[in-house]
Amino acid sequence: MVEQDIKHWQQANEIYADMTDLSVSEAIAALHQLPHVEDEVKSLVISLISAGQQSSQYFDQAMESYRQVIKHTIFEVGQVVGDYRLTQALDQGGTAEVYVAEKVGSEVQKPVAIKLFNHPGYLSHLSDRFQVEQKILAGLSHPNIVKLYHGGHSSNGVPYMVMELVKDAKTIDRYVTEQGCSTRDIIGLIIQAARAVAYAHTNLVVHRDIKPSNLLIDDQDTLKVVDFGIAKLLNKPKDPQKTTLLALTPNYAAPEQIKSEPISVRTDVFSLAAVCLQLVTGESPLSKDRLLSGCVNDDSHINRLLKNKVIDSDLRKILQQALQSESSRRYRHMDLFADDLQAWLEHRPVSASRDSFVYRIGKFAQRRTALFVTSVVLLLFAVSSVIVFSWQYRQISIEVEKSRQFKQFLLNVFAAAKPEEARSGAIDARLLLAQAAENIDYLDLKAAADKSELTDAIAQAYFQLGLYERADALWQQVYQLTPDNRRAMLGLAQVAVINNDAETAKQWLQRVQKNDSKATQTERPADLWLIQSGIAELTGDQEQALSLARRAHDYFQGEDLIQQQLVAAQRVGDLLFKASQSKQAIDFLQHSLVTGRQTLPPTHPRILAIKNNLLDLYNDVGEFEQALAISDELTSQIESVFGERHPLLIDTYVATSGTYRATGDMDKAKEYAEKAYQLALKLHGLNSAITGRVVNTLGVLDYVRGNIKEAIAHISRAAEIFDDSVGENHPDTWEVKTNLTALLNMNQEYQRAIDLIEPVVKSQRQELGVNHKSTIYSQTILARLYGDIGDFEKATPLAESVLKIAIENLGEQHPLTLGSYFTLAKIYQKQNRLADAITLIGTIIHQPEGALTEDNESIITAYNTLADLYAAQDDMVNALLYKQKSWQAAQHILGDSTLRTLSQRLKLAQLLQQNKQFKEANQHVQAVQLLMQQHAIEHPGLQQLLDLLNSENQ
Amino acid sequence: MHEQSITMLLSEIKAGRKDLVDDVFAILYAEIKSLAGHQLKRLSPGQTITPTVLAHECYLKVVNNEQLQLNNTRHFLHYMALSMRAYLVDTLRAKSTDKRQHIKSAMSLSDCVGDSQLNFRVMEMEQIFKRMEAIDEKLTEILQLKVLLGLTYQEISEVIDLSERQVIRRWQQAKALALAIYNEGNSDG
Repeated sequence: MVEQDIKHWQQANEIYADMTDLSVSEAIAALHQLPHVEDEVKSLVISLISAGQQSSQYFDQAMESYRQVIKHTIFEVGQVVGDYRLTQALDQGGTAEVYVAEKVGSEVQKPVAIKLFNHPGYLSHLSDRFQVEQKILAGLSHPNIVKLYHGGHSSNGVPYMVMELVKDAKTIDRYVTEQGCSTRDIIGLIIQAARAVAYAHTNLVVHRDIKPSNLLIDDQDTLKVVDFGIAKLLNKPKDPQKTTLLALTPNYAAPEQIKSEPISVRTDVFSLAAVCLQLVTGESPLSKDRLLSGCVNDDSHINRLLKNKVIDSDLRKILQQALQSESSRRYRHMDLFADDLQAWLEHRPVSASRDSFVYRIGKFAQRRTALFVTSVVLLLFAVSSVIVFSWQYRQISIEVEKSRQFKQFLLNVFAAAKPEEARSGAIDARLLLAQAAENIDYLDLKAAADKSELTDAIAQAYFQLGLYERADALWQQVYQLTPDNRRAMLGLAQVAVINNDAETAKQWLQRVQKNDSKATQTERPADLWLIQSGIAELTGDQEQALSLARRAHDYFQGEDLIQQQLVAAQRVGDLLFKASQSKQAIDFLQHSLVTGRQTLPPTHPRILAIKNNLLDLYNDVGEFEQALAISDELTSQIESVFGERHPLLIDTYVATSGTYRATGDMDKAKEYAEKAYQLALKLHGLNSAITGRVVNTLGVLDYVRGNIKEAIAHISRAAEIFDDSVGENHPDTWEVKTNLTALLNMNQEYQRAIDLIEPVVKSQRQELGVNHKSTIYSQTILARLYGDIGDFEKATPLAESVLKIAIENLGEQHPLTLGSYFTLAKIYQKQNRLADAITLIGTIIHQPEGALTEDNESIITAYNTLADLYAAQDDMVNALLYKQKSWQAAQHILGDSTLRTLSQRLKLAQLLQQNKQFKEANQHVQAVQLLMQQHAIEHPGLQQLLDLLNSENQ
Repeated sequence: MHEQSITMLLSEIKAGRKDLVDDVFAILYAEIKSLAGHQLKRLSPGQTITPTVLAHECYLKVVNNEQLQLNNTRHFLHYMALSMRAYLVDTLRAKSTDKRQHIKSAMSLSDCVGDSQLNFRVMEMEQIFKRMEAIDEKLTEILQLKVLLGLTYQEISEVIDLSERQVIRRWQQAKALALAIYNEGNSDG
């Protein structure tokens, strides 16, 4: 095997010897003209060609490393340094040497440890800072921290530190091995270390270099942390926030240290957790090449280790939380990490996600369906709450007459609906509400407050339906009528949040707070927290948003306000979902479901709504069995209790269809979508928004199955329905039209697409502003369309400005930002500005801030686009390289038999064919055919491509 | 210390006495070690010396003592590069065993080598050299002369009797091979 391998290398090397003067494409072309070259050899030649293009940086660094090996040392036992005589050598690290030392001329004093910083890089700048820093470090006093006494300089100028000597010190890894420590023992030690480090953190000292050799166990089995802040001391003065690479241990360093990003207490959390992971698993916690690779493999390495070697799922969760690459997702304080470990030791529930959060919006549109239908349920609920409200009045026997009036009012409203509709139970909530709102004026209510209450209830209902403008108008009325009405002010703040208007929302909240401060009884603060959570989300502070929502949830729970608690729970779930923490969202919602069921009937709208969200979440994390179980449960509960008329039933069908779609069972998916459609038609008629939703779903299903034309037909109809039912300025209408535009674009119906999207863009700019996600999305599509019809004067500036806005408002990693990148690249490409396009895509792949991680699906598109661009430049080496990468990324992220992976693989085959590598191309084609057979995949688009490739191959 | 001159040994090796390779190796290794020790003592704290400097010292010493023929220079430098590699690796090993002699658990390469990523690179280069030797000895020689002994293209061209242009081409080929080997090892791991 190895022999064979060497032979291949030798052959490749010989072939390459004649190619060193050639350009890459010449070399590749020459390679393919050679007869009888084995594939293995060919691929080695290609890697030689590609290596030939790399810079010589590696060798420069190799030279530098040789220099470091032969290093000067000057200290030895017996020598006197300062007031101390070195008596025994302890350790020779990369940065310092440690000796046991005794004070000269003193028999009484205990021996100490002296650390000598005998390294070339430090002498120049260490001295100045030494005095200041060592005082701070000397101030740390904790039983688990090695005490620093003082520092100084040796006669030949080497800085040193005098420290407490740890007797018979063993490094933690050695101790754990020798003592045969159990996982629980290890966690106990790590907690000791964590508490000590947390203490240092409260003294504003970050350790920066936690590693096994800095965690010592003395002869009393006490853990001692050593070398606090040394890494910082060794920094270049102008960059105090960064740690020099020389001074830290890449095996345990946090990614932000390696990337020279700012350091915080969370840096220590990472390193300590890395040590913990190594001790528990016995394996290196991070890959050895992370310095070279800029930590891109950290996550996969850690996750693999956690998955395979850490059996206890709670412990796994804790470590995972602590080892997040992005520091903002880790435990916020060392103490929280220690708390969770302690809880784990004591078998208490852990809360590994409690304080972590990362800003990753995404998938914002996916849940629309669920939210939409849920809101209809809530409408019915809101109307019934008016009845409850009046009933409460009667209970406390204040105004019996008013209660009667309310009741009559509601009955009248219902009676006004058409009798046949009323009999069938399918009443259009919107009409009903409009009627109610109008009738209020004619209602002879004694107090303005009463009228306010009713109007508020209707406004609530509108709000739940997503008809925010009307809700807003009604609440404004209430506010005019009764300026101290808390619910109106809260409602107006909520509408402002929905409209992305953080300023207005804050103003309303201030009024509420002012009002609350004057009120005689204490008002529920949690109502405010929920809205503040919304504002925080708007201003990009996701962590704050989540923490406020959780706080509100806990408050409601404490006050036994079950329904409000469930509202807050849904909000927390949504936020977690948006942060791509669907698993945590599931845990949270499951938990609140348990609480809710204790007091609410299983068919309560809130309970059903939460289950419905769970269904989506299980789909999101790919736990389709769970999803199907929930949809079964939902379906049977709704059918048995409410019959088929319950609005959630349609939604459950839609979600079930989605689950089957995800598992690849297209027939079942179609069946459920059809079921939903029939039911929607029966209950709501052809022109209801709910029917529109379902029709849209059918269209999406068509699209997934590759039937673009049918998809367009379905979604056009959905768009018409939305225009008629909710109006053309409704977010849902915009969304459907935008999606339709994208489809038309795919089908090359550019002009039709432009005509459709231009008005959407115009009204979104007006209603939402240019910075809004939806506006960014639709403008991106418009820019692409202009590009497609060759109108570059419009396309280029639009795409460039949208990209700028997207980067500023959404960040580099956001899917929409990436979409803008691809669009601009496409437009450049159309104008034959290939170099610009390549640079642009290169930016997202390579730039540190913008770097796409390997598990981001967009990397597939990025590689693919790059490959096409190189192909357009006739650079077949790079084109093939990136096509290959694109396929591999798809395989890695999505699995090898998903549609996208298969299609990516065929695209690779296509390129290979173009490059006359028929054999390789054919291998891919056959592999794809086999996979499609094995998984019974039928897809017109794929088939078309396959046929094309097969005909070319003959 | 050594009875036989390096020149003599080299000629005998050339004449077929392959068993004498070890002797040359031992002499050069000792030479490098003593030179390094000597040099290090002269340095002020924190200074370092490079293998290139050591190699030059070593070369000068041998050349001053013996008449090294040009056609032997090449072999001489080759053995010196090998000795240098051995010396560097041993130095690293010594450092790391000093530090961790008690720890017996299975460790990866980087663990053995210790804290410095830079040290790690030395071991990495050593792996590359080893693998390259099996594939193409001549390219390995050029890589060693350039990276390890710091020879210029011109010097190399004199030593191995190729035109400077050819040396540059070979150097590029050697670099590509080394990097390809490195990349291969990296994608596997």
